[in-house]
Amino acid sequence: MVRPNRWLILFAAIIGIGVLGLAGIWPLRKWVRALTVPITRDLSSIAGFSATRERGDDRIRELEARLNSLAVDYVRLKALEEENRSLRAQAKFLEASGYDSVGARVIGRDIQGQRSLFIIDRGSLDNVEIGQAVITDQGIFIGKISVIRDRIATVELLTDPTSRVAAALADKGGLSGVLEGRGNGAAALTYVQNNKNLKRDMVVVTAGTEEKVPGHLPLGVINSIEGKPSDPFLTASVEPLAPIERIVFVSVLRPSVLRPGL
Amino acid sequence: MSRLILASLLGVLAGLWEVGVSGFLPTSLAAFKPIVPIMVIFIVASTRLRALSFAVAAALILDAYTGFAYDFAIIRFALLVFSLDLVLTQFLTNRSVYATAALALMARSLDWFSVWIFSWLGFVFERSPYIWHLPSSWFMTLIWDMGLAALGFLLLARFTRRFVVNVEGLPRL
Repeated sequence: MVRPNRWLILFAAIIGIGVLGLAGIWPLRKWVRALTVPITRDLSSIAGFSATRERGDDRIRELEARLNSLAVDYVRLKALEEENRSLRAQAKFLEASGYDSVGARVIGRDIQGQRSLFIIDRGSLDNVEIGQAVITDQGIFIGKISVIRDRIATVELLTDPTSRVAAALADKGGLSGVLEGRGNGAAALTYVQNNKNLKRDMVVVTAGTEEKVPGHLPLGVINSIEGKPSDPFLTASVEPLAPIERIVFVSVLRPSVLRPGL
Repeated sequence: MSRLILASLLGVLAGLWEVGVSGFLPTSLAAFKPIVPIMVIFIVASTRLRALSFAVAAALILDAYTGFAYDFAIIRFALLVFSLDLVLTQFLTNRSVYATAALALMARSLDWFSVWIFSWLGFVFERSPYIWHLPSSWFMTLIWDMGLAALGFLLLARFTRRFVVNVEGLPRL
């Protein structure tokens, strides 16, 4: 038999705790995160290690087949990067608009179905801000910071349906289109002008037109092109370069200095 | 008191599993979300206070790591515990493995509905872009829920004799 008075009191107490937490008066979440982030970090590393060992072999075979066809483009891209790097060093471009990075571990993720989100163990206490770019240890762009807490942050991956990234083609300069997430690990380059001469296996990079996202960070590779020759804009499906399921460590790019005024 | 503490610790572990472990597992295992079925087991065993302790502890962990601005699990799970207790005491006529599985199904449905409502509140009040959608592995999650709840009921019935009817003192027919 339910005792209404006792249960009502308990019910009211819990709702009151919830409302106080919503109002930000009672920092329950901060205390819980301070206690549990180290535990979550260890749990996710164990779970991530065992999961990647099971799925690694099939994924490796698939990537090997793809890598052969991308080898020439990769060599050309690396040569251009080296030339670009030496030119920037001469002009001291990096010092004037430099970025530094902070390493982070993925402690939670939601990549089932439509959503593509990571939770990392860096937050506002580490000077992480909303909109900052997140890259893998190979320098491949995977997403942007979308939600900030004191010790953790949510990374909206480029395949998430709400993700929008200004993109360019690796061998062409300037803004080429918008990379939109499509869910289920897919993304599409949209609003590409018809005169851009899109081809399969072209490398897509960040355009550098967003405030906190540097340019020329690799995003993915064009899989297929949709649209008729008479359409003003084309759409291309893009396969992300980074294997989302195997990412454990990432870096958040933080602007170390303010950009110089133009 | 010690049982309340144990229930709370179990809630913390269940919350840590859902936050830090399940996202890294294959789809069939990632669909296993232990908080709701364990809550149902506590409710069916008529240990409401322990169910509430478990739920609040798990909710604290989920709230600390939520990526949605408006998902406040403490409120949702409190409402869920009270709703399940109400259904069990006012509407269910017996305690059986089938009733437990049905209660688990109802609990998960209520949980998903509440998450969806909260995501829409976030959209209305904070223009949050995240509207909750049914996960692709929803069927596996329901199977796990009913299976774990039924297993919990059978273990309770076998080892605690909680559901044995005492026939002593009844008049002979």
